Amino acid sequence: MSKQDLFEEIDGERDWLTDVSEQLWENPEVALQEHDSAALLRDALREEGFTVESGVAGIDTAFVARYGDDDPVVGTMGEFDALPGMSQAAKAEREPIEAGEPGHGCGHNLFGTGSLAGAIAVKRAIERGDAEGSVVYLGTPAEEVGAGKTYMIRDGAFDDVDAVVSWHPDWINAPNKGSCLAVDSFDVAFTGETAHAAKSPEAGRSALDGVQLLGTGIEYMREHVADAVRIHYVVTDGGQAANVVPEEAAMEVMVRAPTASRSRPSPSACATPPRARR
Amino acid sequence: MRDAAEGAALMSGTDVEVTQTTGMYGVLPNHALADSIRANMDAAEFPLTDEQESFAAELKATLDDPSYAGVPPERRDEAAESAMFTDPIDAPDEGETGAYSTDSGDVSWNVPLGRFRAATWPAGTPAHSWQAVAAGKDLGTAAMLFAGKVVAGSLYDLLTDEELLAEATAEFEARKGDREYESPLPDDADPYELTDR
Repeated sequence: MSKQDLFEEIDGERDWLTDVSEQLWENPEVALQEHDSAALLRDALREEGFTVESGVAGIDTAFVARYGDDDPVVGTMGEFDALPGMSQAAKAEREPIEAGEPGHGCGHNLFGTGSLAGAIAVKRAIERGDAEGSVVYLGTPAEEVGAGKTYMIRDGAFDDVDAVVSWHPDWINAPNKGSCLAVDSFDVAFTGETAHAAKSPEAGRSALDGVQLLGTGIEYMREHVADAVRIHYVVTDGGQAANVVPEEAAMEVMVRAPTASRSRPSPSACATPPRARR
Repeated sequence: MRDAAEGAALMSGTDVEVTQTTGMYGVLPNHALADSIRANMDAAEFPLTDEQESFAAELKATLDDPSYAGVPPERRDEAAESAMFTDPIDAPDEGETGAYSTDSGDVSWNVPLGRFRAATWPAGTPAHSWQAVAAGKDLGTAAMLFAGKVVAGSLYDLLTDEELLAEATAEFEARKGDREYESPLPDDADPYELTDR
């Protein structure tokens, strides 16, 4: 069999594949709510003869579709979540279909369907006896909140897969040979004691002070971490009213760092400055 | 960061609780798979119609000061002049650590992972832009079919060429070295909490 035979399987399904992608585009669903999108892709794979396991890793919209019983097992991944607030018509001017509603600003309707095309072509090659092994399509939801795959890995969804080839929409056609930053995300909650901010501030302990001191501490820390390290935060709770010493205050903090040179690849460990030398 | 939080609590006389909500690994690249992907890009055609090309030109005209930094300097003029930049190019990011994070990083620590990008959007279009949404309905389906072929081609190569799989696996093991993947997720992590916040 030649490569062109494999490609012709995809050309032969062009109208149908385009329709699947368009259906996903017309009904953009955000992270973990991609119920219709996941169902559309699952049904397509089931109809093609794949065995589909839904609800992987306790996520309704995560799934693994498999064809074949033999080794090796090769896989591809499909994302299909949309972005909130990105509704836009297929026009060359800014015009939301419905303002404030989601839209496929990261092209995941194309991502999920392109990978579907790839998985189907390989399945047919196996079916014809042109290749030996199995093919899996890993339906990986919630990429935009950075969740799906990590949970699926922990649940063992990738355990028997020997290699994965995946892609992402962009404006170039190119393989990736680079790396990116690892990240740890934290919620940091301070609890103090409330008091009237004018009459008896001495009786209070401000949780917001804790937040501000941590922010200040992080700013000082920046000088003593590797150049590539990124630390960012927002205040998610800064108290309720200025005349009340805040009892509760909270931040969300993200720490990013390269993992390449670490023995234990934890970004927050990379961002911990060495103890002062005496 | 945890030490700084403890210090801040001590200074302000408050209590602090630091909870890791999620985490992701950096990507371990795989050049063996990237090279297979690159070869398949040359074999697969990019089925762009005239209508798609002219819509791409209209859409590109709405981009505000697009950046072509994603391609090597010698190709930037060409990218700036093209509505769609469909010529496959070699990995522009070799040896670089991009300032982003992805849950594909975790995949790459568990299995050899080949990654590529396909031109679904007009040249210079940033992700998460309204132009990317507009391109996704019809224009982007050319790249989608192209990407499907590249995925199929590389997976087929892996099934039929034992050497490629062995090479990709050896590279994966070598890059990982003696570092073990430990899930960055807290034990009681609930994915649904991520979207409720």
